[in-house]
Amino acid sequence: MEADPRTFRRLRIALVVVSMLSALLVLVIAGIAFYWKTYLLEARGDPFTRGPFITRLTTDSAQLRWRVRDDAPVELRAVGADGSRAAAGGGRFSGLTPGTRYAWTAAVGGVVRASGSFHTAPVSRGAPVGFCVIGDYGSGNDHEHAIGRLLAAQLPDFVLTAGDNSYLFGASFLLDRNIFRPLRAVMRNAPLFATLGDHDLFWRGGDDVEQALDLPGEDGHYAVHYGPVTAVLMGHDPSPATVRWARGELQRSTAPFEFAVVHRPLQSGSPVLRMLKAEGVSAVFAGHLHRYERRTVDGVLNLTVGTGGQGPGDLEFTKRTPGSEVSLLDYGALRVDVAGGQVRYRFLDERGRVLDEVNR
Amino acid sequence: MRTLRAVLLIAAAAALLASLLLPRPAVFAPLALAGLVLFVVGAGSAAAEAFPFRRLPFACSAAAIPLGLLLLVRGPDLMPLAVSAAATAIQLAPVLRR
Repeated sequence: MEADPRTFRRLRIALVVVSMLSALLVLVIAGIAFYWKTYLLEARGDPFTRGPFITRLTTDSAQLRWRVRDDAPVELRAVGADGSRAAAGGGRFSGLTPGTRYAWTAAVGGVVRASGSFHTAPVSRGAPVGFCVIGDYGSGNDHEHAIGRLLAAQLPDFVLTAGDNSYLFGASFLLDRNIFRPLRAVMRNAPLFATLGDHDLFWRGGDDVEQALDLPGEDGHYAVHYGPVTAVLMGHDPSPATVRWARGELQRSTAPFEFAVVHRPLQSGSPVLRMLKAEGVSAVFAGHLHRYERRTVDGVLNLTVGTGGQGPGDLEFTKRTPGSEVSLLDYGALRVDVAGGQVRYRFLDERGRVLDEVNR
Repeated sequence: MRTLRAVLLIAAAAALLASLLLPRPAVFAPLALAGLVLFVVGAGSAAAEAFPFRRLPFACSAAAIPLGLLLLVRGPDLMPLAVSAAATAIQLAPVLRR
């Protein structure tokens, strides 16, 4: 059967149009795929499952720790504000210049996947130092994340914690949620020196928290020396042996400003407070009570900062301490600045407002 | 399909002229447009030359498709010039043969 020439011509034109539209469709799909892959897809994920975070900081060295997928090799480098450069072996930078801020980078597979900075301890006893204090924070909630952001913005030289680093207990499987994720930004820029509270000690005597944070002492008992500042961290409820150890540390220290950290706030008549007063500490930091309180007890400034994220709970158990000069039910952190022979204490709430300030 | 052949020839010649006269990156837009035309119209022209099948015109039309793609993806400095010259020559072949 012979095809009608007009029909054949129409079919041919239809074939041409379909072919051209198909070609155009292929180009459009290829264009969308190219644009999607080039501009819309996220960068590959963070290979670090924890950290890197700073655990030690001296006048000439800094130690970082981390967890990375597949144990991939990590290349650490740091550049100082004075132009000096350093590379790390085993996560430890050495040969650094005292009193200098270093910007560090951590590369995996030749790509920088994490960065931060640290400020090496100054040698001069007159150098300004700023640090922050938090307590009772490890709940992993929005308030703790807010405190984490607040701390990061403060760019402290180091952070002290007054315990209860993880709720309800300090088990290793809870620590990323309760410590490392909320405080990630600040821990990339400053070491976190924690003492232990009852919630930490409840699980394996606090071993999981100690190991994860690479704390320098047992049960949260150790001393921090940073330029003109010495802090003795004394744990949940200092035993007579801990008090003797702390006295020895304070007597050996030549730092002009000394502080003590305990978990439970000290009360009038406490032998711990008597010793700390005799050794001339500037202030005692505590947690446990989920309030911010400023008290002068037996002549010693006591600052309670159990305000790091865990809620106040039943107000029946979160009462104002009689005799406190300031007592606030707010989430927040304490900023301490040592400069010019003075110490300035400021309590900042989770919105960044200064709710209390005192100079001594 | 003389119209399609004419469009292919004009697109290839325009790409050749642009490659010769325009600097980078001003040349990218006309090359991309010419590449798009060569790719799409080349597909239509190849279909037209397939029924009834005419070997040389079909081959020249089909060749326009990869050449159009090459113009679209750009490449080293001399590649657009070589590709557009080849496309012009290939589209001229069936016209001169006629």
